Amino acid sequence: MFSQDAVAVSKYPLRERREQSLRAYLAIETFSRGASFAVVVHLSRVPIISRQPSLRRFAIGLLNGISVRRDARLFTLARGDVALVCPEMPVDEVDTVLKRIGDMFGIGRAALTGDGREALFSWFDLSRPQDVSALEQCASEAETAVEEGNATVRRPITARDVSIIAKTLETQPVAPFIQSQRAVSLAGAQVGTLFCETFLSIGELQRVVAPDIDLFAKPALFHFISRILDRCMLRSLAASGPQSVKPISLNLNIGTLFTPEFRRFDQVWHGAARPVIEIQIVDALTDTEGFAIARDDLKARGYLVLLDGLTPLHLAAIDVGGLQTDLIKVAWSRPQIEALRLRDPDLLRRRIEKVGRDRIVLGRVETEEAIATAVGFGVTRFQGYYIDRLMQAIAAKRRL
Amino acid sequence: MPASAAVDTRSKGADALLAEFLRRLESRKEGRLAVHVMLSRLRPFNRREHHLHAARAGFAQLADERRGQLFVLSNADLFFFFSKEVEGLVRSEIMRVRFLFTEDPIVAKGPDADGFITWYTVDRQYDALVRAARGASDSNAAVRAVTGRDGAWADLKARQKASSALTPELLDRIEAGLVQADLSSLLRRHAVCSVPNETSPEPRFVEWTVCISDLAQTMLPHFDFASDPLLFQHLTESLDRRMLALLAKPGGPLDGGDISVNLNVATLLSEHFFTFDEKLFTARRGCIVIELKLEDIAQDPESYEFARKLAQAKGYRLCLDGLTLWTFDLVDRGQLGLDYLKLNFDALMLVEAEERRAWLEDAVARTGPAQLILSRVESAEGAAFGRAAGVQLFQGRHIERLLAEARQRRQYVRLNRRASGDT
Repeated sequence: MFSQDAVAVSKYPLRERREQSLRAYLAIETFSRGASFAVVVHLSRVPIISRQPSLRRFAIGLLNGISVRRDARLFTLARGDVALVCPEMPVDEVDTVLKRIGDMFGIGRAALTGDGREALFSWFDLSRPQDVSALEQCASEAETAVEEGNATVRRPITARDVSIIAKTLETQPVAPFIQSQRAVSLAGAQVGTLFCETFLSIGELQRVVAPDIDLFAKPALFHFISRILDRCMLRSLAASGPQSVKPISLNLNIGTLFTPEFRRFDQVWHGAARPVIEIQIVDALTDTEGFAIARDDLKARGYLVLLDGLTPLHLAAIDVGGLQTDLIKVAWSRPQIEALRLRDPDLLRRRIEKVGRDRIVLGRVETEEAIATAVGFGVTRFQGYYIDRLMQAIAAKRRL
Repeated sequence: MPASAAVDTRSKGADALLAEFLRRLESRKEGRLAVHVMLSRLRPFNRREHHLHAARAGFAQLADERRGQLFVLSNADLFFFFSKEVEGLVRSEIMRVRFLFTEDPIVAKGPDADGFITWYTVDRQYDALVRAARGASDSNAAVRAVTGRDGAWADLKARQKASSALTPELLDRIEAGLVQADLSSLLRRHAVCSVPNETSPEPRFVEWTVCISDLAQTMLPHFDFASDPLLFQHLTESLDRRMLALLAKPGGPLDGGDISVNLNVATLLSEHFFTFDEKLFTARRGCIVIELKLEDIAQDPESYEFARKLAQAKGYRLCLDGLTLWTFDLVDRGQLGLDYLKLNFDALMLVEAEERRAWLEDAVARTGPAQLILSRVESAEGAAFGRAAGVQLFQGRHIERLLAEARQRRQYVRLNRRASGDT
């Protein structure tokens, strides 16, 4: 996938220019007919770059290699995308590098060449005035985006922030921030509720307790806050008691299951419909012994245990069935499924069969395509915004 | 491999379940027997989880086969209820448990002066049984009462541990301190060796680690850096940066042979690693093994996949560290694209030797003998067990002892030669 050569290119001094100069360059430069083109590389569409910004440097290093060898110009667009303007250059030469970038980020061939919304590259034929206008438009949009983005820039969380947030949460009632989302099973035309996941809306809560802090910047510190939030939510639920006959699910840290707050919740909710406790796979693997104790204890008390935080890549690489939970929630990810299919067309099917289709709940379902793909694997349990809309439509139909 | 037997109900909840079970049993006492195994009375070094697991395993199996009901209480004691027909099986299980802990003072006293096992005929001794169950369930008070000094010691230890746990504020102080700290004196070496015979280990690479307990002692004595695994994880990201700085120093670990270092996935994708990598001679990359943790990979498998391809394309080798009896079978080395898997040796392997050896043989076959490292090998028995199962690569204190002995032998031979030359 990578070569020594590809990596070595990143050592060249970066020669990026800003989007203002791209528009100026386009205004003064005349391009010969037929051989000049530009490519915008939409690095902002690569999720891993937003998590690991240093990877951007690699991609730019590869493109920079072209601008060093040829008379091409590289411009940085403010959103994080880059534009490579190539006067009179063979397309194939650029295409090879772009293919390498696509491989690097695990982007399938379709996304490389496609002109859809999510394509990684946009091509512009600079001999056509409409393409030049489109490229100028691209630079302007990027500027607007960054201006809007600046309004919500938050600084990364520090360990000291955690203590301050913890103290705030001691006195902050969380009931207004509790929300729920239903998980359903689909059998033909029948839709049944599996459980209603009950959770604290972090976005809403953040606006109150830490509006200027990026809580997710450090996963370890966010986990610490999440344990405080667990206890706040359990206190609130114990105070309110069961409100519905439908089973709820709670996403809790393993440590929370041994706190007085959970014992109190357990006493108050005893006798309510069998609740589901969701445990994150990272939590389970960090403390396997604690997880085994908690899981067995929960099962003995009548809870269902769900393993959460998985993607198709987890299913492929880890035998998650071996963690012996009743249910396993896997987040929908088309790029991951496509990448796994390229690696081994039958891999996911085998993994799902091994785990057991009935144990899998497909999460983050936002399109019909997700449901169709999952049903193809024999999975019939779902959760996500698309399901919310589906349930609203069914409810509206019933009212008519 | 399951993380615990399916019927295992050990927990504070199990105490309540036992009380409930006893209430229901009151009207069905006839023909029922019970045994109380007081594992809480064992010395602390015998109460580690793998010991308790081994003690429970046979009862869990009997319960699985519906030959009785097992309750594992929060203080680790177990109660097993059964009918007369299975008494023989239960008695042999009790003998096995006694054998497991032969050297513990409470077991060594023998069955006549028994403070370890109590048998009950439920219809005649129901009240005594209820009292015993209540006593065991009231764990703090009960443990102190029955174990005397050991119980108080454990309570004190637990309380001190709670007061010296790592908090976010301390983490801030430690991180600030780490930016300036010179960790070179805290570096420790642990060789990974092939051990073709009992006396001559051949080093393949040397793992370099920062000794965390010494680091804690230097920076904040009396605080347990590893008390909170998630905050500790945060700390390891800072430690990674210091380790990379140490590796890059002239005269550092890289001046020797092949090495390994523990890093986080996020570090592999950080500017710190790219800078380290750029300064490294290309050929040296092939001498470095990067050790990762499964929970770190599970945090973000997409980033892992990316980091792995990048690192391997440059020539680094990757090892998955910290696998245990409970997590090894969860991993598919091929799918994760790893060069090595490191499995921690567990004393439980020797307790259930036949079964575990067959499992390890299979693990070696699946992983590849040149790809599986048996680590934390502290005794000759552990190394012999691994070799018998086909393991070729070892790490641990026992291996360090063998290396030191081999060095001494070589030195002795040299001295002898020199002495012969002089004469």
